[in-house]
Amino acid sequence: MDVNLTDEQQMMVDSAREFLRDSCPLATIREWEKLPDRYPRELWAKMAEMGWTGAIYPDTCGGMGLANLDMALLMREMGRVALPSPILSTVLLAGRAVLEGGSEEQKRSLLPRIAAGELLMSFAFTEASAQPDAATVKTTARLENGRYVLNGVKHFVEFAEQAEQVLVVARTRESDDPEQGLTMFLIDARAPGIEYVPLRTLALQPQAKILLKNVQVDASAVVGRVDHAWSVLDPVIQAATAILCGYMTGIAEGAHELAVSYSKERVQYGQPIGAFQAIQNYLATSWAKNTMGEYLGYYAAWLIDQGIPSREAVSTAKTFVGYAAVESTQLATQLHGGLGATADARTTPFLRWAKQLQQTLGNCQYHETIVAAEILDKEPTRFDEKYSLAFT
Amino acid sequence: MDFRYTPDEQEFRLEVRRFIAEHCPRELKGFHEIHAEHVHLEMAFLKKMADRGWLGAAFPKEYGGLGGERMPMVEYILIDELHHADLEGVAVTLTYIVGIIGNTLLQVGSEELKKELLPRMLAAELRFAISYSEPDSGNDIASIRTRAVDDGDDFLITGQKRFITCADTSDYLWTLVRSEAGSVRHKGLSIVLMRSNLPGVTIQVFEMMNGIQTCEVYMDEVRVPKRYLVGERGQGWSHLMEALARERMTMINFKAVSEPFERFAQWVRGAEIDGERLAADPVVRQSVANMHVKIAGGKMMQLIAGARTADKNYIPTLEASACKMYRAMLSWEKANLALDIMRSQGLLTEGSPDAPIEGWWAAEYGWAGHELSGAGGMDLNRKIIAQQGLGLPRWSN
Repeated sequence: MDVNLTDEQQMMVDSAREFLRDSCPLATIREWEKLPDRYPRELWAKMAEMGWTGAIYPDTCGGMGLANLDMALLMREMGRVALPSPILSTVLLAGRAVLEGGSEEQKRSLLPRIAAGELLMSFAFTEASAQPDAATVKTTARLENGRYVLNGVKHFVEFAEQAEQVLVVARTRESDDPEQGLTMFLIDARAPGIEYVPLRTLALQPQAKILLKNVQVDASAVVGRVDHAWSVLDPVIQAATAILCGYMTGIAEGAHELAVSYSKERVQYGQPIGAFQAIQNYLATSWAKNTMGEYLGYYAAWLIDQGIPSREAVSTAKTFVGYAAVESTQLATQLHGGLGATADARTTPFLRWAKQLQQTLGNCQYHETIVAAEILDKEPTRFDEKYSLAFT
Repeated sequence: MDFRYTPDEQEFRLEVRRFIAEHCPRELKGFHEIHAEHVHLEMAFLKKMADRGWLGAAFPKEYGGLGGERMPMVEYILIDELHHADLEGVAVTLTYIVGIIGNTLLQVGSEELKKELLPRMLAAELRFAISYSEPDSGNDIASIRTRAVDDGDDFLITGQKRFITCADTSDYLWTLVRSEAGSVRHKGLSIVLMRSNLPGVTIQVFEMMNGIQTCEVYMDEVRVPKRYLVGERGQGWSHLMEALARERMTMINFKAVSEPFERFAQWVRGAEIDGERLAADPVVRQSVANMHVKIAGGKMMQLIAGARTADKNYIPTLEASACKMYRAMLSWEKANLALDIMRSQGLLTEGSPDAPIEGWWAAEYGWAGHELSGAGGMDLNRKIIAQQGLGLPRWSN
């Protein structure tokens, strides 16, 4: 049993924290919202230079071969300064699906460019339900004269208009089992028949609804095996969810730190408000929950890295962190009093991101249904005996 | 990071699991704390563990231990497996002996006292009770009034202690006293080990809400030799803080929440009310999963603390307070949830026809109130986190 970071991990975290502290003073956080694409491109380029955008890819694809746990640690640092970026859609979802399912040719042409910070990809999987579930995919791809014709609507696609390539998940075969018959397509984001309906989101992240109207692509656009995309997508989404928990932990902690420091400075009734027991109770509870969520996220990522069954742990972490981050950021806003409600409040980006990410890759209610299925419909696992797990 | 036990630790865990299945009397299961009528059964069971060297695994050889080099997690695994087997009462007794008093004595006790007591403790020959709180001193332990008057080679101790669970079955009372006349608050306190049968000690058993027993201890000029002073005279407060962190960590183990809820979830899987499977009801599924996730957070905090205390010099003050606080937060919430799902069946108590899980949750509803106060209340533990962990200012008392 070891819950400490390795020396390498600690060095990575320390240098990331230092870099982000220097590059992201609080004032700039609110400036990013005014940028056309709502994220700092120069910083994205620097992140690429440091290897972050290709971190989880093997070195043959321009990456550093980081484990999921390492990536979660890195994402936590980005969350602490509420740094918005296309890292989830481009690196962790679309790019990784190419890595896990794509041909050598597809990997060679795309992944080094992602790692270099040159290529944005969007991940067009989610439909109206916003659930990361195979059954949600209604978009179809019909084979006609050797070409695929795609029709359907993809919702909540992050950085859809900014991306150069879009990875579309469509149904190529009807099946009683919704996990069968899905196929991934790599499509030029400007291809004829693709229309974008820009969406305005709570956290100000650019998203769009993608309308696919008779979009035609060659068979060479298929990523992985026809009809069998889910065997690639499911683990990719699982890993992205575990890593996202790291980012959400950072969001929760960033807000909590603001709340703690403000409570030490703000004087009312002749003393810092942080001296009041009511305030201390809030902040202590929130600290405890954030720490629990932090490690539940690490645990999920670690299980995936070890190849140990992890579905319950991933959904447990996403649910716990989802609630904790929302609570922590709401608390930070509340403790800033009227200031927390002003137009340029420093807590606001944290508040918005926590709620938006709580809904991303399945909200708490969705993941609770997964947990329920794991604990109520299956035989008890006895994984502790099989894998010597200490978390039982 | 590695969330696995080492092969040695895993082997030990499975050995403990088999040992409990083979040697544990059924009568000891299902209790939060062991009552007088079961003490002989419990001591015989603990003795078997002691014979295997398990109680003293982490203690130095000169005090009857095994040296502790091989497996730092022995104590954690033992407690974990006892909870897993529905033996919370035994786990509590064990943590009095080893986790709280044994470890604190080892850290701060005099050589003479360690040589006298530790070998007998690790052989499961002695029982203890923790004697801090008084009628007017609950969370505010620094206000205690029990006084120890210097009388040559002895202290003469006079005062009254309340909520001293297991005092009636103990050999020694681990007692917090004011040893320095005229001292106030946390200055001038000491810890002494007082034999429970000394002249002047009167112990009265009384019952808590759901039949749990605890005690009032009256001390009238009890003569305790000074060699039973633990650690430094007048430094009782710092010894107490260390002992309390250990107590929150081991006695107030989060497994006491998670394991019963696990058994409840197992019951839900198979339960039917009026022909309807509970596990098919979406509302039941959602709420059981929601609580399962909440409980996972507490288990994780427990595990973090356990892993960090494998380093014997690490006192998990914040983690322990977080576990205790969170356990208190969930105490009634989980009991409400279980009873609501079981509906009127859940209200049936032990021995009643149709009582699910031997009426455990009806009893738990009464016990939940106790969880709010033991080892420092919810808000005391939040204060520790806020002031020691987050550096928030002290409020004026």
